[in-house]
Amino acid sequence: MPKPTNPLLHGTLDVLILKTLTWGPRHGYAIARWLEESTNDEIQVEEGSLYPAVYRLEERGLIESEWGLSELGRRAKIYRLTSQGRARLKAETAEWERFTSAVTRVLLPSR
Amino acid sequence: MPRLARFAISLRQWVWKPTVKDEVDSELAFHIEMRTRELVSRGMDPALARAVAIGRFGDIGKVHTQLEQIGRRRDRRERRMEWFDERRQDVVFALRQLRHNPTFALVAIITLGIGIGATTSIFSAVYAVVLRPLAYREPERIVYVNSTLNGTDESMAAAAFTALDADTRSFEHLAAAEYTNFTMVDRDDLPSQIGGLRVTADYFPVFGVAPLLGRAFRPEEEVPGRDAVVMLSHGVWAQRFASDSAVIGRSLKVNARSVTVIGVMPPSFSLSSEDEAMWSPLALTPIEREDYLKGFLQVRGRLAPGVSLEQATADVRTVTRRVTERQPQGNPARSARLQPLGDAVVGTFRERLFILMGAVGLVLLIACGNVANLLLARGASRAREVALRTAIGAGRARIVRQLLTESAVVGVLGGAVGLLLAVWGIRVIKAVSPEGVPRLDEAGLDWQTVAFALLLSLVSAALFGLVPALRLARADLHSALKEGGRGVGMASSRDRVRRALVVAEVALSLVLLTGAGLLIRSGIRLQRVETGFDVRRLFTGAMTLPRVSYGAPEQVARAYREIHEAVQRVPGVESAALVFSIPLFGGSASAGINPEGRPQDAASQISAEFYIATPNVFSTMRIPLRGGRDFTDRDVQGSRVVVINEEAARQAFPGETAVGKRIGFLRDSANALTYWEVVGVVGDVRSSGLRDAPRPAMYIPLAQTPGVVLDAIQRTMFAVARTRGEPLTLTRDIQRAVASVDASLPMFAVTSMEQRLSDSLDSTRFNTVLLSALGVIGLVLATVGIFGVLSYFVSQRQQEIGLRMALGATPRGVLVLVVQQGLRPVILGILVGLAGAVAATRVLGTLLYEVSATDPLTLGAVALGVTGIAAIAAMVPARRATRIDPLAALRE
Repeated sequence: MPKPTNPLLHGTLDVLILKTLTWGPRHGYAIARWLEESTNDEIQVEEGSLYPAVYRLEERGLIESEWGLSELGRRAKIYRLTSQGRARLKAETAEWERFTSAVTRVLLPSR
Repeated sequence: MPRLARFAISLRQWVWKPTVKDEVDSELAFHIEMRTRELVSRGMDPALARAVAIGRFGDIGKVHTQLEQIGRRRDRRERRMEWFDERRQDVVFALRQLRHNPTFALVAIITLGIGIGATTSIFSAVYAVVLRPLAYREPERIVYVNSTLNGTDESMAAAAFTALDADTRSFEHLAAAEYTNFTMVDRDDLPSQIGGLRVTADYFPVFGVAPLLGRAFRPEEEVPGRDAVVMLSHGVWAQRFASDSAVIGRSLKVNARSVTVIGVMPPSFSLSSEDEAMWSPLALTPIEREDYLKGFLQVRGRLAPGVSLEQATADVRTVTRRVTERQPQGNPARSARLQPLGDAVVGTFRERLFILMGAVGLVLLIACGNVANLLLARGASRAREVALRTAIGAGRARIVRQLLTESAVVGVLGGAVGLLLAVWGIRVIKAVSPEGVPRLDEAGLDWQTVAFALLLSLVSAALFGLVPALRLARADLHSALKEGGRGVGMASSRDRVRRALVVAEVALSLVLLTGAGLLIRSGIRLQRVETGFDVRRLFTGAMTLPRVSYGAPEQVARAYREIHEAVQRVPGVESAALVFSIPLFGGSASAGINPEGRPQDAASQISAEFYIATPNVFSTMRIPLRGGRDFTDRDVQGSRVVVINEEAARQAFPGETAVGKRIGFLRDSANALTYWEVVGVVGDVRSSGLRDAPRPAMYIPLAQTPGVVLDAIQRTMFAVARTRGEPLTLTRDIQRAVASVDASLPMFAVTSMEQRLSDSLDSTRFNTVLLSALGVIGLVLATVGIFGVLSYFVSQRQQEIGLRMALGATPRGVLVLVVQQGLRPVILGILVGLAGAVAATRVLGTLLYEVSATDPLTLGAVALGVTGIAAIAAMVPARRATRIDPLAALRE
């Protein structure tokens, strides 16, 4: 089993979850799979951190949940972005861009 | 997802709300299931796949717990917000309801406002006087140490205090204080009198309060000659020295001496701003310190840490006994008692204020009863609305909560009105209250009073709102919707509750009015009590001669003789005299006398009030002379004559004529008892108040008064003058007459005797006026309640009344019917009220004078009065009933 090679910075996971949900409402497992697929399994999300992060996002009002029918035919909790969450995502993305470009400038100065 | 399925899911969600634990279980189980399937699809063994899926969670138990915690937090917050939202809705709805029913709103809020306003006003006084902690350090450790003779409190002699100070171990601080008048000459050379205390250096440490400015006295300043210092109270500092901080070190002329101001005390230190405005050191000579006779000392102490009141009392009593045994004239009946500061200060006021608090509580209950009645009346018209809401799904609890919120809104609005009324009410209480109620001037709308008003609003809301709310919520859906709100079946049970409320209100009014009536009768009886002298047109004013200029008794006698003559000469004065002291002044001296022919020991002493008089006192005050003669100018130094009153004669010489006999009191320089010949017997005078029986009294001539005694009273005498017109119009002239003898001598305590008498009845008047006012308010509210219930009864029974009239009932018959209906609960209420009054008025006990708490005359008068008023209140709706058009009513 491939072990998680890139431990995520705290807070980054939150942003990734929010981004995932911009493509539509998903349940927890779907979020995990999406992240794995999008990053070509570079990022292995630890289930132990995923769900607490999701629950906290919901507590802060950035996502909301409702129980619905899943592919299996049984109930699953489906999460969706709120408008607050959307705004927050935008802000965090901009911040991330600034941060990474600054670091890139240091690490990889253009010649 | 098909719409139906979604709906089904939402419905199921709404119906079956899973717990947080179940939800977390479900979610995690689902994830694991999905992960397992994925791994299996990649070729893993199912059992291994499942293990791996679970393993990827790490410590799944911990994750589970974490998720549950967060979930529960979220749930709590949601519930809280939902609750607040509901309350907000309720309040908005309640306000809208009130706006649509302005008469109901107005009547309810005003009724409640009156009840809460009265209660808050009295609470404000109770809090300021009784409940608020005193502004001293650990006030529960401060005690008054009183000397007692046969159980009666007396002030302490210097020798007794010296012994206590030296020999007791129970006090951290022990101090003595003596009430004094300070004559201060202001900048403009106008002398004025300030009441204050001479205190030992330990006085302020007893109370544990440091001076605001400067310092307190030091022990070395307790020596005569080194005591030319004073401390000011905050009030005097603000009033006369404009709060100037440079006052420390200023030199003042006090009691004809130059003294330096060394300190200012903070506000709220003095319990009585008039009697304790200034302090100077109590400087006693070594001889005075050992004086067992002289001494008007008030002793205050702070218990040492760990010492209980009982231990300190035993300690003090032991030392007192030792001192008494050492003295030749020590009285074995002398002991001591310790009084905690709180009791001493608040004393009788606590009882009186709590009685008022109880009375005003009754008024508030009546007010709540009225509002409850109003709500019940409205209940009929709201039954439909409530039924509808129940039908569309509002739970019973939700409806009750909403109705209670409406009551709370009425309650809070009523409380706001009450606070406004309380501003005025507190002013009234302060104006009507007797003198000397400690800390009453500090009563006002402090946060404690406002908080109390708020609490009252909510409690009242619960009282009047609960029953109507529960009744309404329990309403029968079907009949309410069918009848359109006029459910006759419900009406009869609701009527019963309303009638019960009327019974209660009438009963409470009766109790209040009976209490007021008893106090009024007491007051009248008290007014008629014979004082023993003629109080009309009698001027009184006091003077204190400073020791500096009048050290010798001869100087004192001469000065006062000249003042006597000068006052006598004032035009408008029919007759004048000087006496110490006057009745109803509140500060008399007493001495023990030994009648000749009886054992001359301390145990056979008769305690008698002690007066010093010039000739003419009895004729000026019109105290009847029952035998012998008055003093004359020939009763000078050398002989010893005394005049006693009838009560003294009765006790000292029962069955004999007192004139010509001798009585022994006071000791001369050789410590031998001096004997005085009785030359006259006069009538009894009620000196300490109309309630107390006259005590034995004796009068000695000013010219023969020993220097020791003059010192003890600080050479104070009262000028009494019978005037031709209004006594106080001659104040200026009389003061000028005094000034003609000594220009620096101010006159204080200037009033007419009638005024003094009226003032002494003040505390009785206080209770009477307030209780009467409360009784009237209660009756008015109860009357409004009766009126309301009967009007409602008439409007509900229009059909029935119309039918009766159509069948031949006369208007008179209808009138009688309605009034009867109205009076039945009233009569019942009166009966209940009489029983209640008999039980309740017992608490008035000490306030009543020669009127029993179950006085039948008062009870009967009040019962008749209430019935009469109720009958009148019943008349209006009854008249309206007679004017019902039978045809119109039947058609309804």
